[in-house]
Amino acid sequence: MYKQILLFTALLFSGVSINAQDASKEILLALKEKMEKVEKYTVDALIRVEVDFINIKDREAKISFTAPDQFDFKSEGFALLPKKGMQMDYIKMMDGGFTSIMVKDEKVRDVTTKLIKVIPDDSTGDIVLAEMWVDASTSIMHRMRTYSKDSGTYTINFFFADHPYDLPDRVEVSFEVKNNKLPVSITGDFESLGKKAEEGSSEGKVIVEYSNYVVTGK
Amino acid sequence: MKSLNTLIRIELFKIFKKGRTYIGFGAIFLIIIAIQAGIHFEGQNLFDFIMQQLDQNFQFEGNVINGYLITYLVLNTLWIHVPILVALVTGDLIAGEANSGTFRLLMTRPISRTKLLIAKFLAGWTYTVLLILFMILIGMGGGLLFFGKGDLMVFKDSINFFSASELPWRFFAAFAYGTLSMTVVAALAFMLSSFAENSIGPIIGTVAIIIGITIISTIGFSLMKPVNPWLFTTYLPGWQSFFEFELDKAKILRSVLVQVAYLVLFLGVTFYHFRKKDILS
Repeated sequence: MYKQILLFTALLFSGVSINAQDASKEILLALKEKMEKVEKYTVDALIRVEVDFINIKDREAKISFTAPDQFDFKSEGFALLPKKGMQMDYIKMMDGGFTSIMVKDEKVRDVTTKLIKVIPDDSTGDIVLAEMWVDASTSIMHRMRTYSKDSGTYTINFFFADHPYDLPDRVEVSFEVKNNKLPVSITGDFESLGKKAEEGSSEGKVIVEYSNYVVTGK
Repeated sequence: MKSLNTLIRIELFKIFKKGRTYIGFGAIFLIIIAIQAGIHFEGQNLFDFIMQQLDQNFQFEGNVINGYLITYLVLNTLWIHVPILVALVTGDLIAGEANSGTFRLLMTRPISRTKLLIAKFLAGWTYTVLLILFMILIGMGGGLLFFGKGDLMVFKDSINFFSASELPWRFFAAFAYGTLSMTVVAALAFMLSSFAENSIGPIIGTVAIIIGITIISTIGFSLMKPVNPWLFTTYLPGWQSFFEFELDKAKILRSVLVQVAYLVLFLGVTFYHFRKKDILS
C-alpha cells in the first residue's frame, strides 16, 4: 500500500512538472512568434548611461533592426550600448532549443506575469540561464534576466506604450561593472597619483528610450 | 613705447638668429609626427587595450581615433618636455649676453635696465607663445587633417566622453592655460639667467627645479601633501582640468592665481636683482 501511494505521488508530480514545462514553452513560443512578426524596423534612440566611472551626456542614435538578430547603430558621436539587452537574445536562444520551467506568478509594475526559467540546450553559448517575466495574456515580456559566461548577469526591463507591434518604448539594462584603474603612463593623469582607486564592482545601468518606430517589414 | 617695440624686435632678431631656438620647433615637430605615426599604425591596439575595461559590458559606436584624441595625447606627452624647450631660450636671454661679453656694450645704449628687461622678457614670451602655436598647428591641425573630427574619450579617475562640439573651447582654454604655465617657466629661467654669467646654468637649473620638484612631490606624495598646493609645478599639468566632465572652476582659479603669483615673484626678483647688478662682462 505504501509503495502504491509513493508511486502515485511521483506520477502526480511528474505530470505537474511536464504540464508546467509545456505551458511555459507555449508562452515562450507565442512570445517568439509575436516578435518574429516584425522583420525590419528603424527607430530613434536616446541613450543614457548611468555608470559610476563613466561620464557621458545622453546620446542620440538611429537603430535599424533586421530579423532575425541584425542590429545596426548609427550615431553622430560616441554611443555606448550595453552588450546584452539591445539584441533579441532570447529569440536567438530559443532558436537553438531550450528547456523551460514555469516558476510562479509575479507582479512586474502592476502587471501579473509568469516567471519562467529558461535553460538553453546549447551549452556552448554565452547565456547559461535566463529568467523571463512574461504576460501570458498579451505575450509581452516585461523583464528578463540573463546569466552569461562572459558578461555576467544582466537585468533588462522593458516598458511599453501603445505600439501596434508591442515594441518597447523604453528599455533599462542593469548589469555589474568592474571598477578598474588604468596606469598613469596611459592616462597621463598625474593628479590622481596617491589617490586610492576604488576596487570591486558596482551596478551600471543603460536606459534607452525609443521613439519614431518605422516598421518596414512584417 | 616705440623704443620698446624696437627693443623687442631686436631681441626677437637675436633669439631667432640662434640655432638653439629652432631645436624646440624641430623637437616638437618630430615628437608630434612620431605620435601621429604611432597612432596611425598602432592606435587601434592601444585603444583595444584601454577599452578592455569596458569591453565586457559595452559595445561602441563612433570614431574613437580622431584629431582631438591625437591633440590630447600630444599635450599629455609634451607637458613635461615643453618647459625644457622654453628654458633653452629664455634661460639664455640675460646670461647669454654675459657669456658672449656684450652686456657692457649693450648697457652703453640710452635705455633703462628695466626697459631692456621688459623687452627681453616679452621677446622670450613671444618665442614661448610661438612654440605653443606651432604645437597647436602641427598637433591639432595635423591631427584633424589626417584623422578627422570626432568625440573625445579621456581617462582620468573616471572615463569622460566629450562631444566634438564642445571640444574647441576646451582645447582653447587648455592651450591658454598651458601658455600661462609656460610663461611662469620662462620667468623662472629668466630669473635664473639674471643671476648667471653662463646660459648653461639657468637652463639646467630651470629643468632641474621643474623635474626635481615634480618627482619629489609625485613620489613622496604624502610627505609633500601640505606643500604641493603652493608649488607652481603642481599646476603644470593643470590644463587637464579642462577635460574634467564638470569643470572645477575654483580649482582652475586657484591654479591660475598661484601661477600668476609665481610669475610676479620671479619677475620681481629678476627686476630687483638686475637693476642693482654690477655688469662686469
